[in-house]
Amino acid sequence: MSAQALLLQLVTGVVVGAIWVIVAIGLSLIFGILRIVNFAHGAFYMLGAYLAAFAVGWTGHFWLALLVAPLSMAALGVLVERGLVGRLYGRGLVYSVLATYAVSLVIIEGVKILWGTVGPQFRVPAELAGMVNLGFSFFPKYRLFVLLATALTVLGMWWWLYRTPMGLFIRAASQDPLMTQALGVDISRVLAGAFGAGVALAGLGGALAGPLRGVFPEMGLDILVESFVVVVIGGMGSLLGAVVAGLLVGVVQSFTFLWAPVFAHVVLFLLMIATLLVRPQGLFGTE
Amino acid sequence: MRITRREFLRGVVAGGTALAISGTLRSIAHAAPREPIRIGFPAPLTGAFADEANYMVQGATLAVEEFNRAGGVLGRPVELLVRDDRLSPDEGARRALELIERERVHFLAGVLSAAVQLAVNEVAKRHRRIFVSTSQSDKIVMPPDFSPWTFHEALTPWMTSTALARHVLREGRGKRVYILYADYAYGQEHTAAWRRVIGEVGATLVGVDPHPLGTTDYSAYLPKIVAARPDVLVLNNFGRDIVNSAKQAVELGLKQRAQIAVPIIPTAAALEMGPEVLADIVCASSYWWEVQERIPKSKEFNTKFSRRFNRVPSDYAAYAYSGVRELLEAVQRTGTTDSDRVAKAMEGRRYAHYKDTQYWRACDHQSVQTVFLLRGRERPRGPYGLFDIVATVDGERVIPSCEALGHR
Repeated sequence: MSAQALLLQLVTGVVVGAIWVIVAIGLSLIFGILRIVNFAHGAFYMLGAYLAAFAVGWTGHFWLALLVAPLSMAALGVLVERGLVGRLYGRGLVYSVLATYAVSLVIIEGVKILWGTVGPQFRVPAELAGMVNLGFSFFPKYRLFVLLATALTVLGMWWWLYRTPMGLFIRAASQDPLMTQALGVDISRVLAGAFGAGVALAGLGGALAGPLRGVFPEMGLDILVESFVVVVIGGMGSLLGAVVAGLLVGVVQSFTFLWAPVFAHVVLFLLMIATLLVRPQGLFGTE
Repeated sequence: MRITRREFLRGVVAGGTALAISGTLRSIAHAAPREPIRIGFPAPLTGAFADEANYMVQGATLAVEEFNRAGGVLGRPVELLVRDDRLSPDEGARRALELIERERVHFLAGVLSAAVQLAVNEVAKRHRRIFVSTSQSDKIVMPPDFSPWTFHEALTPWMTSTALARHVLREGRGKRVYILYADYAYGQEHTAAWRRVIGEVGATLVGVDPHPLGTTDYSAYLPKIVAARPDVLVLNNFGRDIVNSAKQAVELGLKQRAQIAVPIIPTAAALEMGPEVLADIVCASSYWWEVQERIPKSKEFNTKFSRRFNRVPSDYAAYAYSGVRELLEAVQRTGTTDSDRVAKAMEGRRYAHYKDTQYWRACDHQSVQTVFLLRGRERPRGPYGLFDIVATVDGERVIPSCEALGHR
């Protein structure tokens, strides 16, 4: 195996991991602040891809679609938090798991009823089609773009959480909701905002993955499980953990494809089990 | 709102009466002489093959509607009961059992995935019911899966991939072949056929990788394939898997380096891939609508289908149409819905419902038929003019002998 091939395998894994990173930081954000596991995350991912595909179909602008999809998903997320999830706080994990699972079923079946079992076309935009020379190999431009978009998203999230008042409230609320409220912060808005942001990230992940993997009602099922694994490995609620674990899992899986393809889909879970055995709180988890 | 016990009882009694009355009405309706002939039709309406399943349901629907418009079969209306098998063998077997036991269907037809097909076949065989299969499988025509009541309208992977591989490797000595296949019956059977032809012509197999059914991201498989420098890349998968694996292989420039070959590219998948991916990829098929230039029967079928559904029929739409039509014609000829007698009437028969003549081989109930080899066009002719027909292979030349399949 030549060095070029190994490098190509590495970059490929990083890009696959990048999509997990985007989806997993959304999941982790929601868990870290709302203390619920969002089982509708995969369905939101799928819906984001649909919205982006439709937006491209109507307007012809990929960039616009990349903006429209997460924004409308954020709005939907806030609605779901206000209407359903927010009413279940304090009732234990099971309620929110069941509720978000129900939301996921409604979304998936609703999409099938509205648009059928066959998804819309979603092509790589013309300006990102084709390949670039990375020196050691040619690589699809669009996949590099996904990597760039992920990096920008992670930076944006960091800025939002650590450099804005809203971020400050969110971090405060995640540590001590009661005290935060006592200090005059409207905690319900903070929670809705965090859920909306998490859902927007799922939608953005779907919009980015759509041109690579196709758009269809069940596209969120695998990614839900995979991003959950990433969050567990990285540490529930840790953003840095989700980023590191996402890339790590992407690269490890990529090399498993190379040397033992049969194990490529088990390796995710093996990594998770190993993490839980050695460091039950995850790589960057605190508790 | 609270419901008192009395109200509750009243509700239950009223509901029960309504049910009883509707039941009586229904049995009166059943007593009429026109009890429909029911065909159960499991298909993967959800999952990676959903697009093609829709085509199949449309093909079967067209056949049923034609008979019903002409007054039904044996003076009875025909009813098609479509069920979602969710691309799972367990689910398929359950649906088939339900269709036979609860819905009292007379026959089964349909199914798209090889693995689901074998599960449905087992149920049909146990109930000695005719099953016209429209899914590619080798095992279904071989003992022990072979059933005297099962007819295999689709091509087998053996036939498809033998025709395709011999064409692609016609000057194949020393050619390097890499195979990526979906790890279940369909992918394995096509891969077996390729291995055999590779041996026949003296080509070299430089790599074989399985992938799970329904994989969406193939990027991690591809660097290895690039590094192996194959002359031919074979993608033995189906449905959405073809779209994603071919798209991503082309993205990485594999089309410039290797001839990409796929056993069958379903029409829905071909449309989704678009010419930039599809161009120059070769595949085999039981049917491509553009054969209408040489086969009048196909022109007739295309017209009927597109008038009804506003699109050209796919190969699987044609399988379903032909299989259901052939079954109902046999019922008409024999004047019975008895599976034993209808099966006898089908064995060995020659028929042509949508292309040139094909026939049911008596030993294994395989439909022996023409295989078309197609190549994706760089510039499609109209929205559906995606493929050039590059060769036509007589089914007799690629079908294994009865003895080779284990029939005596």
